Amino acid sequence: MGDARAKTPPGELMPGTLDMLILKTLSRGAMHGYSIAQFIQQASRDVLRVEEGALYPALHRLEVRGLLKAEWGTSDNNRRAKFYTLTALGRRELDEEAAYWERVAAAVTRVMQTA
Amino acid sequence: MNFHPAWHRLIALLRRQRLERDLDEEVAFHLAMREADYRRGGAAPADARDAARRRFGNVTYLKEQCRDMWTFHPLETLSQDIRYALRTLRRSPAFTLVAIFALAVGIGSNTAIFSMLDAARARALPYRDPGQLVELWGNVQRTRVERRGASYPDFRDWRSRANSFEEMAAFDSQLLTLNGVDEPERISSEFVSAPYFALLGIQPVRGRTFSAAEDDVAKPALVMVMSDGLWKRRFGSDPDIVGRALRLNTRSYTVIGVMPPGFKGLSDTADVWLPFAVYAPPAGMAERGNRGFAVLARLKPDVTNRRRTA
Repeated sequence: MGDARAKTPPGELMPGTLDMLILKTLSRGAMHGYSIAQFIQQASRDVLRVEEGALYPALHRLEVRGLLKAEWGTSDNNRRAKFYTLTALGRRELDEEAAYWERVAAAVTRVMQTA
Repeated sequence: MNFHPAWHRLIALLRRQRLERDLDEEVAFHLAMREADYRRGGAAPADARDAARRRFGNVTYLKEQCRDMWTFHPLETLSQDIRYALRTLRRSPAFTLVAIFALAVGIGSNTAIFSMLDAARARALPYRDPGQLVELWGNVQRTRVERRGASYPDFRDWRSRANSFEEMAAFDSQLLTLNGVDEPERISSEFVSAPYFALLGIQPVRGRTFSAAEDDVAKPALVMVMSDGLWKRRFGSDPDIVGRALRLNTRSYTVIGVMPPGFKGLSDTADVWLPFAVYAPPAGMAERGNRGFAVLARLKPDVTNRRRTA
């Protein structure tokens, strides 16, 4: 079903993390796929470069799961684009994922900080 | 429990084409945006396009992955499941046979019962106001009461004396032989009094039915009314059928009318109708003891069945 837990090259995101970043990005408002990719890159100060193609399976997976809602609209330069918005379910998922991530990150940091 | 995936996938099954188009457009939009970005950065159009594609990744593969999200897995694995089920059943033949037998008996008996009920279901008679039609029979007192039918003198009496009935018609059926044609044939016929057709409310489609004068025992007219089935089958829907003379048994009758399709009289088999007056020779018609036919009668509108039996 595309939930690849394969070895991810350094600098790239694991699918689960990518989902979380997408949800976080969309919590700021509706965006289309391209804007999401741009935002993640800029907000991470170029550290995280999303393999752009990987974005779309993730977006579609989230939509099927009911965490996102998709609607066709017009972009800034008057082109037809698919805009994604966060659903209530998506918001809840984002909170859970964010909490989990923080716990994990804190734990990893703690271990790394031991002598 | 999240129902969304199943729901979305079901929708996807029905809107496959639209999803494909949407996916194409979505990816095309992204590539176009990236290309424009590179062009703004100074790259040549062709280079920009290539770079955009490279950065995106394997378009075909990624589209495939997107499609995977939407596929309705249960349906796709259906054929696998069916084959597995068949294999399992084959491994335990006893169980399979018992199951098949049980299903067969269940389905079979249900079908049989419903077919029978359907066939036996009473259908309304296709006559005018059938609720007001009754059949009259004569009873004869021997060691016990026997139903015999009426005799012609009885019929006459009933007709003149009965108060509850609008009109009456004697009727009986018989097999006669159609002669004088290439292939003689046994034809089911009905002998009926003149008011018979009017009582049932059926009009002929060609010609007419008997008049009262033709139904006179003293001087019966040798006329006949034909069914639509016989007219089509033996006479090729001859437009000049009315007026034609045909032999039934030993006598010649003139066709005076044809009845509508589907009408085959009260016996539901008749192809020919003759005046009741020719039912038997005059001597037989006068004999009160000669009981053997029923009489069709229509109740007067204001009379209920209860009062009539009184």
